[in-house]
Amino acid sequence: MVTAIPLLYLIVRTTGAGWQAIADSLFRQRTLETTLTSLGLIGLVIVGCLVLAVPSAWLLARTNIPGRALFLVTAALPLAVPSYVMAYAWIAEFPWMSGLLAAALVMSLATYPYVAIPLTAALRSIDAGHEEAARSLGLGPLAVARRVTVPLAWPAAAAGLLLAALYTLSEFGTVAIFRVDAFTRVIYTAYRASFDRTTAAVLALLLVVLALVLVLIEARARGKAQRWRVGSGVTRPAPRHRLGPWGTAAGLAWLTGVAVLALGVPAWSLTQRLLESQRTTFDATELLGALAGSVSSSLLGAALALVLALPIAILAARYASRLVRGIEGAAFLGHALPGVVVGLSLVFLTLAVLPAAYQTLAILAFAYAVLFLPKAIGASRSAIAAVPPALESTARSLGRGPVRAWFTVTGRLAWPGIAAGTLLVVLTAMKELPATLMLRPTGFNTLATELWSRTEIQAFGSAAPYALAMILLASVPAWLMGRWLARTPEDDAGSTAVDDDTVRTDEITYVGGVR
Amino acid sequence: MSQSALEVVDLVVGYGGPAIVRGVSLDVAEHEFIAILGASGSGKTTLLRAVAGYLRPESGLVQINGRVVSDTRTWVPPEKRHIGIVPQEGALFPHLDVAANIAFGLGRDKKAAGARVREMLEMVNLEGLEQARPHELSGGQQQRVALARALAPQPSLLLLDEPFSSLDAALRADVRRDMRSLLSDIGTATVLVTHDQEEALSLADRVAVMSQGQIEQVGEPWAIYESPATLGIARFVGDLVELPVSALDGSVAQTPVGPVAVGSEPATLAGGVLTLRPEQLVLVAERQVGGDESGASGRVEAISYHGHDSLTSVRLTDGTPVSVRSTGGSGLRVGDDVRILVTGSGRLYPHE
Repeated sequence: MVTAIPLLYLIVRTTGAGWQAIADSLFRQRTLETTLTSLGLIGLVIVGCLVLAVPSAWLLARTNIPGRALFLVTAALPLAVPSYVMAYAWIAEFPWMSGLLAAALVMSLATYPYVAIPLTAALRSIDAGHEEAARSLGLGPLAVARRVTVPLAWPAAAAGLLLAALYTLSEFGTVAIFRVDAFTRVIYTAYRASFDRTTAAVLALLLVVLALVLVLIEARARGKAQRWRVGSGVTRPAPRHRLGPWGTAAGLAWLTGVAVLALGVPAWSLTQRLLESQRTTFDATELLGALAGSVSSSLLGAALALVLALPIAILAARYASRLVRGIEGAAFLGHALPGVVVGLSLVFLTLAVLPAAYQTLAILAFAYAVLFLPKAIGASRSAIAAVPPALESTARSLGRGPVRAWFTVTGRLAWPGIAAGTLLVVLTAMKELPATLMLRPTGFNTLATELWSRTEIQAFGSAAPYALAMILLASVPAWLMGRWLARTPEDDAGSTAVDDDTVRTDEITYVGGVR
Repeated sequence: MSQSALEVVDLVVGYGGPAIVRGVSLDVAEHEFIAILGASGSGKTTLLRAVAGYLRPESGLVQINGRVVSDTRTWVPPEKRHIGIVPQEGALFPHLDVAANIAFGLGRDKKAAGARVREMLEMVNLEGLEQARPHELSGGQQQRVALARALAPQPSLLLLDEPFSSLDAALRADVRRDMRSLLSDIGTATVLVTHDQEEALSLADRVAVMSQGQIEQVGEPWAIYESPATLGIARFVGDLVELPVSALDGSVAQTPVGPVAVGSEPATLAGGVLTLRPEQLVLVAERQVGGDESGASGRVEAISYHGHDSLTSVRLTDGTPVSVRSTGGSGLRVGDDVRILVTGSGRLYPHE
């Protein structure tokens, strides 16, 4: 319910402006242009992701190319770089970059792992039997690829593509850095030019509708992807294609090239800027202040998200009634709420209802809670669902009351998963930019806002330490999840509360949680 | 007169939709071991969950040791019912060691609890495994710890929810036997829920056959096997030979294997099905019969040999299939002509 408040208020605020004003804002040429720009950007990013991901996935999954383990890591690593940090790194190195193509390039590099990783996994996991059967039925290698491999691997890629599209739609930092007039930037600009807030509200609603469509399509595609996973038993992976010397060279060149674009350039640029910032004045207290701001606001937000998430997660994990699914679904609509929309609606809401709360830490924490509630619910839910209900009911029959039974058994077993989920919310909230810009108290800085304001005035050198700090923070979840997956179930009973599959899918969502 | 350990009267249980348990009444005496036997979906586990207090019945009465725990006005939560339950797969707490699992339902007195844990471990023959974690135990050991955990607080009633189904066949027989003799020794009234008729018949003092949310028959194992109340139960609790009845002469039915005495009451039935257990038939090779004309002729179609006995499928000359259980091998081969003789009486059921 709480998640819906900002959205509902946004609707109220918009309709309150009068239909004439709405129509005026909606049917302007500018609105059409913004929509086309956003859709165009999404289209380019989808193409970019496919171009980057498909050859990489095939090389990694189906050939004997050397260095596969290393390249698998480099294919996942861009997720640890917030996309606007990547944008910052590119523009700091090539200040002439701007516009749609530049934004599409950076967004593709930042989001292609969403496609490459599941696609590699899918290509690996397709049972060799299917393709062999097709060969024996008289199909050539290309026909097998077209009629068997692609249909089997497609759902995995499609879900990843939709995720990339959703991120692109709600991404603010990158489009703003490259001055692309997509929804998020136009909304933010309209909001800053405070005389035109109805336009901002109307565009925000339009953005929500578009995002909602993507979320719904993504949910369907994900469902399909799961249905395709036939036979959890032992499948025989397809044999690896033997590359000749030229093939190996070309493959290595491709994988290295992608890695250089996605990781090398940002790393090089960042190092250069860091060296520069050594020469310019670097204020450590400012960095520490921003870090403190990031930590305090995101801890508050995560705590609030956890309090809101736990009841829903418990209900969703244990009782799959229609009502519960509805509540859960409403919370997941948060996925369709870009930070800029939540920021805008909370600005309206506080100014209208509770002016004292305007631009306070409390309202910022609330924004984080709304934005990242789905993550908190997802993590807690899978952790709780992994604890067999029989354990709790057995504890009841051994004399524990319902509350004590939950805490001594289910809560005790699920808490590592819940804690990890909360930590992920903290780290994701630290990277949030647009809502933070709109809602932060005056003079309150976070790592993200400092990086943003310095990039805006092209002070690339002094922005570098903040970019580095953001990357380090963003790598924590990846590192954490890596440890989690490496741990065997025998090490700690707690890890039974996290089922592998969930972590692997969620990891991708979590690590890349840039918005 | 001693009171019942468990008394269930007209219990109706559901999950909001159509009722799963539809008016069940059951009485379990002190020290009695009763098995609820039913196919999956028969409502037996739902009944068990309602008795345990995990589910609130829609109507009916549950009384444990003379105390009402559930009726229209009363509702006692599971933690106050003082029953032990051994769920499927044991459901040991993975974050606790064996001793802590067994002590889970005991009071805060550490010393008393420790003594009780040792006593229980000794009882289930797992001395020295106090510190072991559940995942370090074999399936059978886990099941015995789960039993020890359930029995440690000295419950007045023990519920076993298919506790042996996750064990492999060789282990199952051992664990079953151990558990049964242990429960006979301590005399806790026990309700076992199972879909395995062999398990129910071999373990229980009495068996309650459940189907479609109702108990169809309650009785001692031999009564269930030899005098099933319905054709459905007869088919469920063991192999069955079903013969059409062409004529009924008093209490003798004319069947393809000749005249058979009818042991069941409804002798007024004109037509119907006469049932025999495969071990009631005797096979004789045609070449050894000589001039004797009694019995029916047939031909061996298949033999499944189990070592201690064998089941021979025979098709009679009129086309009726029958199966015959013989101790050890029958010495026959597929294609042999045989003569079939009947011992004892059969039971007559109306056509279903």
